[in-house]
Amino acid sequence: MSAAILWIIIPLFFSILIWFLRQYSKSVMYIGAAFSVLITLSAFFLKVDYTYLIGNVPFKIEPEMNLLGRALIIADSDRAIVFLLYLLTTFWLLLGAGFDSLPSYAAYALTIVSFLVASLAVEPFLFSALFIILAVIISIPMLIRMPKKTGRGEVFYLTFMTLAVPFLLFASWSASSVESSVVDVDLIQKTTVLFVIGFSLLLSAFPFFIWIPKLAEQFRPARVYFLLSILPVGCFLIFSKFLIIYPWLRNAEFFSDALNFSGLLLIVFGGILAAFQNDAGRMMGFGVILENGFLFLALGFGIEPRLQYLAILIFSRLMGLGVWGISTTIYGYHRDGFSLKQMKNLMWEYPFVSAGLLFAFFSIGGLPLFGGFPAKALVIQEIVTQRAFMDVFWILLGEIGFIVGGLRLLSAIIGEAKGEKIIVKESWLELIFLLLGVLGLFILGIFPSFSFGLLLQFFNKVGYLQF
Amino acid sequence: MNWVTGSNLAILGIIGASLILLLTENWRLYLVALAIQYLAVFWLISFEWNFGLAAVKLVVGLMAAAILGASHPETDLSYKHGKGGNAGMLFRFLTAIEIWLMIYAFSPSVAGWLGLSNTAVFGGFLLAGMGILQIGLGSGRIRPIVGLLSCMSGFEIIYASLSSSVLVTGLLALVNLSLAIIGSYWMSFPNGEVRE
Repeated sequence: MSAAILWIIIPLFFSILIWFLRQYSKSVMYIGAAFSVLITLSAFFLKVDYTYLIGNVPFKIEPEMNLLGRALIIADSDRAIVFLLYLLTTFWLLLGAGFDSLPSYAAYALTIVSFLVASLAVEPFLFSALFIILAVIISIPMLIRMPKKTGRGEVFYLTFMTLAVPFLLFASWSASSVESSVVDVDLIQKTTVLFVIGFSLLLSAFPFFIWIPKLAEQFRPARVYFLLSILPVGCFLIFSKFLIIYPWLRNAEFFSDALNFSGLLLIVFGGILAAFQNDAGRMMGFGVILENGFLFLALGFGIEPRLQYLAILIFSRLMGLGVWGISTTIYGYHRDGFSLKQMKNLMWEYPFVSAGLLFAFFSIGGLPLFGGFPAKALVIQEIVTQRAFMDVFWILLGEIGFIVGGLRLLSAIIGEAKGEKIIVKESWLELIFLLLGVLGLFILGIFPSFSFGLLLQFFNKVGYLQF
Repeated sequence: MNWVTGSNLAILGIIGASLILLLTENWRLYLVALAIQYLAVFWLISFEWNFGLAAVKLVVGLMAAAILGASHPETDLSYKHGKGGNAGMLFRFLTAIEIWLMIYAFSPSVAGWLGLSNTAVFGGFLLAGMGILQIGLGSGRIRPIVGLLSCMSGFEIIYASLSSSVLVTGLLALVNLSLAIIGSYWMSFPNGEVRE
């Protein structure tokens, strides 16, 4: 059996199967979540290109599979990424199984993750853009609007992602010419520009980020935050793979500066605009933009710190968004509307949901002692060692803007305290989800060396960070 | 000089069809224009690829038009917020001319860089430009989808001269059909409040 069959084809066929069964029972959601757990465990334990003995029968997972003259290759070093993507999907599916009413959610989520894994595995790598856009298209029916919300967030989302495909395919074609020819500076520059435009659209760089807050405001949180967790992470991993494959791209004269500038723009815009929003969903949409900015900055560093920072930033981002997703999903299960007005006095009825919201928000904002702080502090530290003090100023400006938004959220959630007693309305299941999430963020913030040490150890063990 | 060549006729077809797509609010005419646009795309691609592979583009295009047509997009096609009427139509027409002139001006240099025929590059960018115009000016759901389909068609004309991979052709066909299905889905649930 090949790795592609195990981690791409089987999940894809399984998702199609449960999509057809969706109308019969909500239990397909549980079946989907259980299947995702199995695949995640297989990605963690089963080594690629290693012979196991089942009784007397040898069993080996081959790294390569041929498909219409192309190859899908998942080496053992790629297992960490497959594990990360399926772990993420499992988390959101378990949350969905508890609090989501859409039975086909599991089918869509598994299809999306299969396409993302395929986009990382396909050789030649230029085909990855096509798998990404298929994942984006599959995600559209999953988005279901919040009551009384209108807008065109999904149109912008689909448009920007689709427009990235031609640029990336042209860039990849041009890159193959760069590789086969002697050093042609003009060709390298043109190819780099094509890559920059394509990835700017795909990674929602300035000004293509407008769909993120719109989507976060308009649609049900569980599915939006699943998308906002998995898609940008998949796209950034593909981008980092491009940077590894094409050394002339990462060594291009203006490339690091462009990444740096793009990251700073996202941080400043994301942070400052978040402070002026009246909807918690939109605020977190800008939070995602701010996080994307940090990922851009990390990609602008040299190759070794780049991958380590990327892993740490992605992990802390996923933790923050995960807890925000848990809290908003549980909130949405009991109440409608995420405007600050509608969230007033939340703390007196749902104290644990409120704690989850605030922990996640300040973690994304990088407030000291919260989960997101150590990762962001590492990036700032690296910038300080490069003596780019103006960059630090812009980062702090964005961060302060975002934290001001968090204080407004805090003020709305506390509301007007009139000596009321706190009534806990969350169920036991909800409390378990919320407490685990908040505890995770707490440990990440207080013991960063321990948490990130474990993470980097795992990535190093499977070899993803060794090039 | 003989201007009546197959490729020039295909370009004329693209210009006419994309202009109708931009201007009309009649959904039957709109879908006919989309079908003609795909016929012209097939014609241009058939100069580069064998007939069988090029026919995939035509079949996929006609299927996309049929899928969109099945959801009767009559209300979604109208220009709202003061973009309708004669002034609106004149504005859209003039913008289209501006796009054509711009593409006419820069396509020879791009064709030179890519090492392709000027016709393929001009036709491709023309479709992509008109597609982006549709995305920008349309207020409903169908125009952005047809705009995206036009952009992808424009790209496919140029890319056909660079590569004839079966996997890319298959995946692009899947992308085009999926976009049409999404358009049809959006028109079925205009407010997005689906209950399964």
